[in-house]
Amino acid sequence: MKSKRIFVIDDELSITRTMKWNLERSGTYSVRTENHAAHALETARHFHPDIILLDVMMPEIDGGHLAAQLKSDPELKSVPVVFLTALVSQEETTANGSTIAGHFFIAKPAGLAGADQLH
Amino acid sequence: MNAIPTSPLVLPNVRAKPFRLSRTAATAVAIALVAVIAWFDYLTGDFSLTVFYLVPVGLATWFSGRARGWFIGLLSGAAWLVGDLTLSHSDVHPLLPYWNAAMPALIYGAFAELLSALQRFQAELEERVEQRTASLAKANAELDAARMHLIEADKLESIGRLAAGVAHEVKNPLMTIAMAADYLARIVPPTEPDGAAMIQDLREAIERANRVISEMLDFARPGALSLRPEDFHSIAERALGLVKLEISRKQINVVRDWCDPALRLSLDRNKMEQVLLNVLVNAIQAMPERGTLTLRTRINASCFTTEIDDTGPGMSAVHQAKLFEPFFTTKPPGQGTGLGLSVARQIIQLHGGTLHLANRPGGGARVTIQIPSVNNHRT
Repeated sequence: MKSKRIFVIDDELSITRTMKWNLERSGTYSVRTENHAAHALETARHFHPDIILLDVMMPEIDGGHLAAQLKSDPELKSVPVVFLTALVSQEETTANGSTIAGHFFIAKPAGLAGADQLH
Repeated sequence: MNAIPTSPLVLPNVRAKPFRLSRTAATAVAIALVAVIAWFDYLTGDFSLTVFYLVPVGLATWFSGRARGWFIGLLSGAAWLVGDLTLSHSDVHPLLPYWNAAMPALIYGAFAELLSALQRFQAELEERVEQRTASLAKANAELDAARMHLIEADKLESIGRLAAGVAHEVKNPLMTIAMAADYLARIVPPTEPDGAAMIQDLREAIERANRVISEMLDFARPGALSLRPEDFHSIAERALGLVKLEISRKQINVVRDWCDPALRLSLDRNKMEQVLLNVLVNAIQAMPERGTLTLRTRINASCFTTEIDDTGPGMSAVHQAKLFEPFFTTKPPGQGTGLGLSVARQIIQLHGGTLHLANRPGGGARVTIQIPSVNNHRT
């Protein structure tokens, strides 16, 4: 079975690294990470992800802005984007089927239980 | 930041307690005085004490009213007349004593009228002072409430800024730790029980830190409600389920006194569960072992009421005044953020309701939550 391709964009190296270890170890996912939001669009075009996990608060470009760029790209516009954020609680995300105002969210800190919501 | 006035206006008590005499007693004293004055008048024989009759007339008018003042005035005139008739000489006109008595009687009546008008004026003045004092007190209370609102808004704004910053700075490392704990859980072999216990401790510590941050966020930004017709009792049961371990550890007896089971209320299920959870955790932590936790629901035309009673020690007046202050807690360090009740009250206020906490007459504390009946639905 072809593994799902997940692209994780977060300015925290420790988060992208541990996510990659965990997700790849499960054998279900192939993971690419990016810590510089400015390079994310280019990396995504090369990686062809099935899903993008995107941090909201980043120093270079914020998640919302980057998501808009991804959605306006002809190659990437159909790729679902899931926001990772510290500003909402797990209760808020799970209460609405992981969506807030139509966007998918995973509340930090999420372990693998959070990643289960990607299925 | 706005300057906030710190000393509320305190209104001094300017009114001294007035001297009071019953109507009957005042009239009796006035009659007695008339008798004494008339007796002296008779003894002296020159009727030079006319002015002294004004004392009983004034006394009767002030304490017994205008009519009795007039009565005492006429009585004084009559006393005068009796004395004059008794002592009058035969060379004067027979009507002269009547004329002599009528004059002071009229003067006494006029005096009673004057005093009565003065009394009415004083009463009006008092009423006006009372009205002004009441409106001043109301303005003072409004000013006080506005001041408190300003302080609270100011506090909320600071907490909001702080919470967003802290949430980002703390939750990111927590996420790394959570992911690392998951990774370790996979690589630590089951033959290592200490490793498994350590990972569990790690997850609990993450959960605890996350809860503190989430409560701060909730407090600073309670958010919009997602209202749906919900079964309040099932929400309460779910909240009870979340604290069942603590309930069974302390052998707490849970009493449910539910009203209409078909009742549905427009509620945000998750937020209401959070309210009940915060209140239940407080109640359980306040109680000794083998306490009784009572949950009661009632519905009437105007509102839905929930009461949650515990059999703990209750609260001191000092603690009671500070219960809803952010970060105020009586719990040992690490067991509470001091935001639980504030968050619960905010959520209930978003539902258009109220949350109160008070000592029960029989001991222990009672949390009363009231939600307007406009939120009710029948199924």
